[in-house]
Amino acid sequence: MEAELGLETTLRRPIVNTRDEPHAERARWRRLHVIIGDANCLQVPTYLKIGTTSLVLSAIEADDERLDALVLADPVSAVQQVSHDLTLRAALPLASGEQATAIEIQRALLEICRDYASDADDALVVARWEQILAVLARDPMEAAADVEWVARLRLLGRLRDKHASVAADGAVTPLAWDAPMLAALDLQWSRLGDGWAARLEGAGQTTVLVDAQEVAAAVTRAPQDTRARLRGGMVAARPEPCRCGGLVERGAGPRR
Amino acid sequence: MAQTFSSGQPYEDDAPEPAPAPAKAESTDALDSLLDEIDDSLQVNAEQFVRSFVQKGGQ
Repeated sequence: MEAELGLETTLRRPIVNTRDEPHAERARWRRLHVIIGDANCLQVPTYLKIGTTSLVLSAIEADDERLDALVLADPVSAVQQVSHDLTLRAALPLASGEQATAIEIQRALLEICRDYASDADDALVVARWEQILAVLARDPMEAAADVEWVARLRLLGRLRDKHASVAADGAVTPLAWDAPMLAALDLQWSRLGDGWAARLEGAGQTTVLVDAQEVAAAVTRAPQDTRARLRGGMVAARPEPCRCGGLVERGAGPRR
Repeated sequence: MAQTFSSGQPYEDDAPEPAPAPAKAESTDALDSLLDEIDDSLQVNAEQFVRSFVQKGGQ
């Protein structure tokens, strides 16, 4: 992460992309394009990212003043700091002049969001969020089934151990971090379809929230209350590649 | 119409607890065989893959 806001996605990566292109009726819908975590593959991270963002937006819309105390002094450097802190104990400077760890900030956010949980789905998000924060606070490595960086670190660690070298005196040295094999594993982690994240899920190592048959069915029959329904229908009706795809779709009338 | 959404049990049940982990040995076996697959896939060409990797896409 290199910027708080911006129009780019892969270069000078911003936490939030500012392109307001709702792909829906402009008077009713706006677009909030959150770039952070956009490469997440596992189900719990995706579920929590969307569920918690929705609750935080409710708190923001209600002008909840408790949010003010949680404003980071420098969000971009905080992201960089947290991403390198495997203990989750780094103290992050807040705009108020105080400091807090990422877990402390999330716990405070959770307490605020609890007040905006308005249905059973929201309550499930809050409960799972709380449960995972408790695990992370105890020992981040215990969250390998639910938190993507932990899952990835665990897999890399296992591979390092598998290729450890044993010295004459019996000392064991794991595979060095700069080994090409580890870099390749890292790059192939989120490859669509057969990336190592998907294979890890296939091996039963991650928490699965959505039934595999439901996912398979949605590949050919998009959820009927999404714009994927229209896109899927158009592709099915005209399967040959069309260079102007997005533009054609845009002219196709109301959708959600 | 909301057929695709209404499986009746989108999440395990009403409890937020994750599904019980499979038996320890079985789970370790699955991870070990995944590690073997990684070996088969990466031991030979990892260096070349990393060198030639080009980021694609991004919207």
